[in-house]
Amino acid sequence: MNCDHCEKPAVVHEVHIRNGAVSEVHLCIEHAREAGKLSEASASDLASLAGALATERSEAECPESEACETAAPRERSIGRTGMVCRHCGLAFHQLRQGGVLGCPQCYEQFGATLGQIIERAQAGGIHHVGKAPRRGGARVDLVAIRQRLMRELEQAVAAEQYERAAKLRDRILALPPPAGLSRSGAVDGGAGSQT
Amino acid sequence: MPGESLAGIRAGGAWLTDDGPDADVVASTRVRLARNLAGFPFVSRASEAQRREIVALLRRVAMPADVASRLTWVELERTPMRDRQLLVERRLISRQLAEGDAPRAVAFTPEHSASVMVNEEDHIRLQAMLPGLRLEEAHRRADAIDDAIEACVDYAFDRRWGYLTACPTNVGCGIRVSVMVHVPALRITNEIERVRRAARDLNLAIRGFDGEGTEGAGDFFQVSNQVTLGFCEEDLIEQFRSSVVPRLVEYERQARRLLVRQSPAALDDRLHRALAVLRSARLLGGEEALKLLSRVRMGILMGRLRDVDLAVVNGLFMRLQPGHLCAAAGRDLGAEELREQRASVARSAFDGCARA
Repeated sequence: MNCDHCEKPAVVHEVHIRNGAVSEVHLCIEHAREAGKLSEASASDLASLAGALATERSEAECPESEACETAAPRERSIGRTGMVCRHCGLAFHQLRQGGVLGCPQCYEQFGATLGQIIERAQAGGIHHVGKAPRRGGARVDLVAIRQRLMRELEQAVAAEQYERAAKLRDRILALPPPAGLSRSGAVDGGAGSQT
Repeated sequence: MPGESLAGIRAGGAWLTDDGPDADVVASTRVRLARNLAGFPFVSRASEAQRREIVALLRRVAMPADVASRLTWVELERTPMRDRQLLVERRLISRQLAEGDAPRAVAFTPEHSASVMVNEEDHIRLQAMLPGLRLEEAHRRADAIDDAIEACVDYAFDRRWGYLTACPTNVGCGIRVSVMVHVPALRITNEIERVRRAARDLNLAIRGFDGEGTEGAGDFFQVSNQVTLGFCEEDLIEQFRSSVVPRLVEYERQARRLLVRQSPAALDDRLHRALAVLRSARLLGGEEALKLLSRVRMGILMGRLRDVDLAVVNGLFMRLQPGHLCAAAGRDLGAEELREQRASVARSAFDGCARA
């Protein structure tokens, strides 16, 4: 999708709904900055979430069809995915309005669509690296973290961001070895500072 | 319990008058963790009965915990607004938790440097606060409370997303690291915008004295992390310790040095006038008091107001707020009475300090 004002790819997308009329705005970096969209979007975490939610595209499909129910066609026509959490009954559009999820299961129920929103709101973070509860044997998935960090490292090298690449390399080296998977409790992913 | 809570609130809060490392610029450090219980909907979708169950469950958990052997537990539903206001001003609860009428509670330590809010946006919002820049220690304390609670309940946790929170902006570590910085010189030299921009570039949120939802209007503002996923707690704290805070502190110190270089007489005039008004005024508005205290605090920390006790000034930031003024008067005060009471409390506080 290109910018409304030039041929560059749009990075800021907004859906405005006013008195039932829907309009969309798509802007490239330069035009977004000019329109003051970028500084607003980073002004607070709520604003950045709202920005991420607003950019959610209507073509986003429900990832696990069994886990979802399709809402009324009218809902779809104004560019909202019609997913509803089976556990708490929260509809996806309610998340957009209120900014909060209904229950822990919402994370699984809204699947990849929510994942994309989180990634944007979390500046690219897609996987938890940090403390985990000791009860219930909860453990952070080290293999996935390693894969994720390796991918980021490749991207950083490709983009010639060597300082960032060095940091990522250090974090990969600091991860416990595969045998450490049997270690219970928290995984830090940092410089082994957690006890 | 309201009577008991009021007494507890008045007695504590010593941490608010102390100072700590880099206290000339960093007023305080706070680490907050968001947690939710498995098996319940998040607060916004929980029924009244479920919210009540969560409060009861956490009360059983919180009260006997080792780290919190002498906790005060306040059920806010049954607490008058005046006391809730006092808790907000002590930063033990958020404004959001103070308002509303659903079952909710707070537990806090005697010195008021840590609290556990129940049924705020998440089931559990626990926080540790310390004067000055003490990130690791604040984190250690919050972490210990978290461990104590976690030993008794099952948290909503996912291997990929980490601690599941009502708002996806907190998911992952659920951690919010905040430092309250005092930057009057940057405001006087009109450089505050530069700082705001620098903070935003680092993916940080900036808020005013009152925290969430307020802009940094006065000489204080709060800087906190926005990202909670993809970094471990130590990395997020390290980012603050090694890059964000030193830069802010240096900006402010540079601005203070500049004020001295430009015109020491103009600076001293500003500082002494602020002190003189606090010592003599008969009516004081809230914002005005905040501004004057801010200047006096800077004057003391720059070594230019030598005969004023920093602890007195730090204490007044808290004691001149409406809830504290009403508590001191023992009744609700109207707007004009508040101004009079504020001036009176300020005058008597400075009477105890030796005069220059």
